[in-house]
Amino acid sequence: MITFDHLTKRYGATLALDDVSFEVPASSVTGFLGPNGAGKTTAMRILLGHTRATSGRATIDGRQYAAISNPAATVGALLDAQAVHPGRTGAETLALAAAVIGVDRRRVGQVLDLVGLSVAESRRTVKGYSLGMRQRLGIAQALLGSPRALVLDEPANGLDPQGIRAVRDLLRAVADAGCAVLLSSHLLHEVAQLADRVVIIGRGRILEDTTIDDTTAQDLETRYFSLTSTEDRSAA
Amino acid sequence: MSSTTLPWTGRLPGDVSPSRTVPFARLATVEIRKLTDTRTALVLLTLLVLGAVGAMIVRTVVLAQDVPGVQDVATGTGPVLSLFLPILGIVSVTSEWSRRTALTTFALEPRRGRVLAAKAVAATVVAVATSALMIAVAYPTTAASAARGTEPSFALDPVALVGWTATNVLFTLCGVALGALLLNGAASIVVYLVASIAWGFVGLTGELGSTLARWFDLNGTTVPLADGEMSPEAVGPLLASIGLWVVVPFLLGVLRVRRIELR
Repeated sequence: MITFDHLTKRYGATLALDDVSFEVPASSVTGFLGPNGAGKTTAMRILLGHTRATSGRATIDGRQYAAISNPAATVGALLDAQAVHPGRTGAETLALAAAVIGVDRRRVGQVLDLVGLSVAESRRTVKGYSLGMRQRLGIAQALLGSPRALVLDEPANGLDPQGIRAVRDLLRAVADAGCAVLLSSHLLHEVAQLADRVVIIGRGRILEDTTIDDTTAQDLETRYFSLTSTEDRSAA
Repeated sequence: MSSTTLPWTGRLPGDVSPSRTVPFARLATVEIRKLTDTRTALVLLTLLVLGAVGAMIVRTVVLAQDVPGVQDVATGTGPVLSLFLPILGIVSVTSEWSRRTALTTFALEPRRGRVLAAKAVAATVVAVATSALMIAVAYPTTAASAARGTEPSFALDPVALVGWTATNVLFTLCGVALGALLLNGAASIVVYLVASIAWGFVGLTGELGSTLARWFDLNGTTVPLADGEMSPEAVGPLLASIGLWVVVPFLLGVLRVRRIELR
């Protein structure tokens, strides 16, 4: 389970996160929605220890990321698909991560298969990858350690419709296998179809935290725009 | 995509216990691999080896200076190594920022100081391997010069060779330290190169300048070490310059990297 516990992050005069609390239970997909600049990425970066919170805590099964030994075997993450060395092949990128995590080399082949990257594609350098292929590679890397929690920041960015559906099916399977999945996205319809819960954030504050059933799935878009209407123009 | 074969289903023989902390040796091994698995890295290593071996051959066989000994032939590559090895050390750290791979590197091991230590060990291994390679290549080079009629010496001074190798390691670690401190490849390379040249001028600026240069110019203080002629008087300046160019920037770099926000 992923827990955000009264998380506040201040950058000078700007309040990026304002007392953010919510949970991502095991065996579920939680969609994290909100306009650009609302604080989704900041919350995820604090969870992974890339940035320190001004106050509050973000934990995975009760522990902060940096306190977990071999954390990638507990938490898989993809915050930025572009943050890959363009001179490495996809397979080498995964092999390096697999070596640090200490998983069998065959995991590389498994996760490549899961995200639909072919062996031939994995032997090319990342330089030539489309954004969609980089997203697939990043998701593959996040899955290498068979994590209990998965954190993905806009993984659908750059994916073609086939890719979006494939990732949706994959995340469903991963959650059904027991994983707590936190996924930020701007694709409201995708989230409505995939997620068990949605959390809507605007200007650093949680505006909505709800489970998704057929009704909420229907009017998620309406709900989203009414909640974030005041945020649109002010967002960075 | 097949959602039927999730890696969650069962363990593979090569899997280790996920709850165990990542052993330092595993981090260091991966950092060595990262020094060789991109084209940029391979180009740099190739330039290093070709440059050093080329200089060795030109100096020994073509120019046929004096009577060559295998020791001098090997250690004569020092200036070339002290140009390329620090750049390798710098890039091993700064490329994590320019390529933004720090995001992954520190997600896999959030103890950032440990990652920098692994990078220092990896750079040390490359420096030692390069030094050993130069000694190995010095044999045929020396023999080739003998074919031209000179009388070469194949005697080796182990103390001097260890000192020379240690000097190469020190320059490499200076690169790692500057890279960690500045987190910018171009700036680190400029600082390293300018510092190497600038001490020569500082040494000419009177009493104070020459004292400072004698104590803090790593190029000068390592000469007795590299020549295997360490004297008690040379120890103080050597340690002082290592402190200024390796230890202090590395520790400050670790502090900086531990605090910095990853983006």
